[in-house]
Amino acid sequence: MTDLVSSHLAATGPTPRPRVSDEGLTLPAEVDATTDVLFDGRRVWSIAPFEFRPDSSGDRWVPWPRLLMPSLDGITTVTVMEHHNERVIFEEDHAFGAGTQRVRFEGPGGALRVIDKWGFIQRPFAHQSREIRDDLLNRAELILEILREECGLSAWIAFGSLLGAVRDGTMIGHDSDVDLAYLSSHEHPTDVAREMFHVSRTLQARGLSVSTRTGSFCAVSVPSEHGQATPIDVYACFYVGDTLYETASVGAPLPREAILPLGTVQFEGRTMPAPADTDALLEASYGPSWRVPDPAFAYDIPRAVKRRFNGWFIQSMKRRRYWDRLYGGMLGIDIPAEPSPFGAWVLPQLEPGAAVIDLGCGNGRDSLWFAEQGHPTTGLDFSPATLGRARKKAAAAGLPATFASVNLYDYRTTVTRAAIVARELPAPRTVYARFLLHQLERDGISNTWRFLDMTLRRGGRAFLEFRTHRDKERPHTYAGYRRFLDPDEICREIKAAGGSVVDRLEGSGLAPYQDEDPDICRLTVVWQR
Amino acid sequence: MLSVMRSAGRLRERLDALQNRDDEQMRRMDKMTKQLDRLAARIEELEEEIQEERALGMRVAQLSDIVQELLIPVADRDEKRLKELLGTYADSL
Repeated sequence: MTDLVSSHLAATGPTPRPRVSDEGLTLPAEVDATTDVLFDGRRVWSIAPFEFRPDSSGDRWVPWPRLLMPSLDGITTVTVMEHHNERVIFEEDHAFGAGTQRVRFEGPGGALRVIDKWGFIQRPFAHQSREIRDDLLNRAELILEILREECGLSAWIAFGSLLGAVRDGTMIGHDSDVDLAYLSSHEHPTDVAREMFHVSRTLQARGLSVSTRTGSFCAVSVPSEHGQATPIDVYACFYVGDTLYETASVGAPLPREAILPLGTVQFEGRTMPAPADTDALLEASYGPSWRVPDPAFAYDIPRAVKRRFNGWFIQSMKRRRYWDRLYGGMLGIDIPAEPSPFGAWVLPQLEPGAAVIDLGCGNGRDSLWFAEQGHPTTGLDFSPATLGRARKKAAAAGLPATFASVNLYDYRTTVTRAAIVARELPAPRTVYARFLLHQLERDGISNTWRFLDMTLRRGGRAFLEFRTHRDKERPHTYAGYRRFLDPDEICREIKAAGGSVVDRLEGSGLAPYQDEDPDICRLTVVWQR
Repeated sequence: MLSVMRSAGRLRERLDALQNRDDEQMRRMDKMTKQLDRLAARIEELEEEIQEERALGMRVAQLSDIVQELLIPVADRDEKRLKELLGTYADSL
């Protein structure tokens, strides 16, 4: 590492201005791939640069992650390098605060900690205690047993876990999760997805915390001592004809005898189930050089395989980490807590005491305010982290606001939540959706119409606010995913889905924020049948 | 002199013929380029259509899950069970 740093610096010359400060660092314009930050040669943080807005010169200012801040006191050499090839981008000595010791970012007992590009603390297996590893393996064995005994599925340790087991009989040091897979009893992706729903429910019924990520993949969270849960990923594998599909990276002609009957492999001193021909499966997953360790390995998934998985199983967690991080304060963006101009515009239009459903409530700023004004409010959002915080605020203030999850990319959660709301809240209801539609892709918008149809058909109105196509060229305070919607098109979609627009207001000056004055559209919609 | 003029005439004829052939080839190239563009656009369109069809499979899976887990108990008109199921089903997603 040191030689690499020295040789690079010799070749490029000194950095013209400091790029490291107590608050963050400045990435040069050309950096756009995952980037690692090292303190005294030890990796502490990985950055996804594209998430940060470039300034006029193209440089990106990136604040230190919240979880790293408490450790930033003292001196260190900050090295910034590309993750995939370890090319040093710059290196600077920096003194944080008034400390005179070397900066250390460690867990209990000096255990190595790394903040991943999502802003979460990860502890690679190589640095986890024996107890933690044992706990994780106990859970993995329990899941394998449930899959086998209760779901009737042949399941094995897979991907990185299988690779570590076959190579060395252990977890791969830089890995930080456990992978399991099962062979589906179905060949049609629809049936594979239904089976995965059943698997998720069965695991939950046994008290495990499960998140169904797609129709062929779920993740079980195992709590750990450092706060960030360690995942055990469960993947479906299935045959279509003679092609084996391993979620979501492999589609290869592999005989069934390569999988069944299952054999065993030694993994961390335990005998674990493994595919019949581990070498054949690992070659299909990682290529012919799978025996040679490669920490920078990246899947080169064939386009046809990627398209199949995306089409078959639908990614329903689109950008959820972004929202978790935004509302968790990890992106350095201040989210206002006071009511929005749209909320203030809607309030006088509400019947006294009318129930409000705040769809896409974010940090609950408007939900809490409606509740303060005497409207029982249900805040619904995609991000569990923000819902937890909003619940606490409501409870502390004794407000009639409840919060629950909804994922508008998942048809099942959309219609189920709509059914619950329609049963529990008296009609007519008001659905309030501020700055929601332009954050959604088409399938999310289409599910939003379904939600409105189910909650408003017995009366009530929806108030919708979104960025228009005219806003695209206007200045924005923060970068981030957003679409710019043509109000005419949205009105047409609403009509086609069974709703009627009864009021429409658009233009700038309606929702100013810091130095931004977006062009927006406000619609009042009914959906009565 | 006469033979020079004849040669020049023949050369002009050959040049004209070549020119015509080039024009013809250019026209054919143009046509082929347009056809290729049309085919590329068609492939893109077909790929989108295939993805739309693939997504249908997932929607069928989601709908049949809802029918199996929620609507069958509704059909049984078991109100207590339905309320309980709505809660547990939502929590399980």
